[in-house]
Amino acid sequence: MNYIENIYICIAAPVLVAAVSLKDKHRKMMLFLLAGMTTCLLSSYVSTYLTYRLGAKPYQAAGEIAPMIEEIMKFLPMMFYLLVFEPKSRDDTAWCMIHVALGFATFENICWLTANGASNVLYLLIRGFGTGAMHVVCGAIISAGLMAIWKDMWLRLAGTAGMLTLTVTYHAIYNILVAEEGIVAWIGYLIPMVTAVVIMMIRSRTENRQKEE
Amino acid sequence: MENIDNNIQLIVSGFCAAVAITKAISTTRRNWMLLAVCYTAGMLADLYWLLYYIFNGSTPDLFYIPYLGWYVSTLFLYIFLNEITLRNAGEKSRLMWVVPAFTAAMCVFYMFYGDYISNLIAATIMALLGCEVINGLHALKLRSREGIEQVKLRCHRRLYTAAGLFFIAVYGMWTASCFLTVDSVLSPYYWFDFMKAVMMLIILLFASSVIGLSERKDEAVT
Repeated sequence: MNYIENIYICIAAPVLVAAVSLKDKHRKMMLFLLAGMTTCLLSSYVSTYLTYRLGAKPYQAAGEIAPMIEEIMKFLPMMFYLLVFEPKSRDDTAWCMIHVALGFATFENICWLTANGASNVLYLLIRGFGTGAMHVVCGAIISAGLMAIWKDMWLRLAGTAGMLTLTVTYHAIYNILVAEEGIVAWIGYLIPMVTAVVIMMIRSRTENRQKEE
Repeated sequence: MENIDNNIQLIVSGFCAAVAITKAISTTRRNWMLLAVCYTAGMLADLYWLLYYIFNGSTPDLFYIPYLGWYVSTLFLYIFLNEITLRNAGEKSRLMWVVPAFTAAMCVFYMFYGDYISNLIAATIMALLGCEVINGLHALKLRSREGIEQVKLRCHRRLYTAAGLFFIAVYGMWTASCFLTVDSVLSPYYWFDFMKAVMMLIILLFASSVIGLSERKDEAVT
């Protein structure tokens, strides 16, 4: 039995206290971290319910149900922020989404540790980086894509669907690969890290070019 | 045969996605970004389908993950065509109404073989694409009378024709899949699927020349 609600209370309490005590940008950061953990908890409920409701096998739950639910749930705090607060800065929105993804990945890893133990350091290192990078990469894809199209009202709906589909499929491919054993799982764990490195390289190249211009 | 077909689709969509992403990064032009999303969504859907089939021995049937990828790919192709169109506001062909009627009729037919929601989404997106192709070609006919440069018209006409053939290939593939009996290269399903792959490549080629023309025009203006 894995008491994820108890873990959530234990992890979320200090973040909540920090959010209350801090101000401005730092408070926002803590709140988005908390939102990420909360969406992780809620998506585990929804995924479990759908798995039982549809009579899915564990493989189907990991490869079909979980990616869809997790990515949609992770996007909800971001959508609320975009629609209600209408942020002007692109960077501001991008790091908000990444903090949601970070909170989600942290809570997911903690739950995984309590269920599976923490004895194998090498495996945990790979899994920690793999899962962490995967959620952050998905967050980065969504925020970058949405910021590029958010100005046009009619493109918002199509763009949101497009970005969500990209991240859901990416997440599902990762889940399918890591569900296997051996070299296939290792390739799966490496994909998000490689993607994160490529994104960083593209970003630094674009920034350099903008500076030159 | 299905595995070979899936691999061909993946290679083509992967190549197109790589080209579109590279162009989107190097030019930061919105049209290339739309094409990058179009091809990347298709490529990820193909990869997911192939991996699921290899490791699980069956195709995904619970949720619509790969189908969503293909629908988003088509939707972004429509958005791209809509962005580069030479059509004036409110300029529509009367022939356009044939497309929604056709997609609605086919949707009802496919519902006998597949589920309702997926077919409704597919019919809506394909109707959008089909209408854009018809209206785009109609607008090109009108613009040719107005004396717009021939190169521009030719590039747009080729692109819209390729998109129209893509539309036909998709419907041919879906219809053939309803009567799929033999898993060999003789099955029309594979012919249409190969045609779809070729059309994806051709669309990229013509889209590149259309965007190139508009880039040159922008440079001349500045």
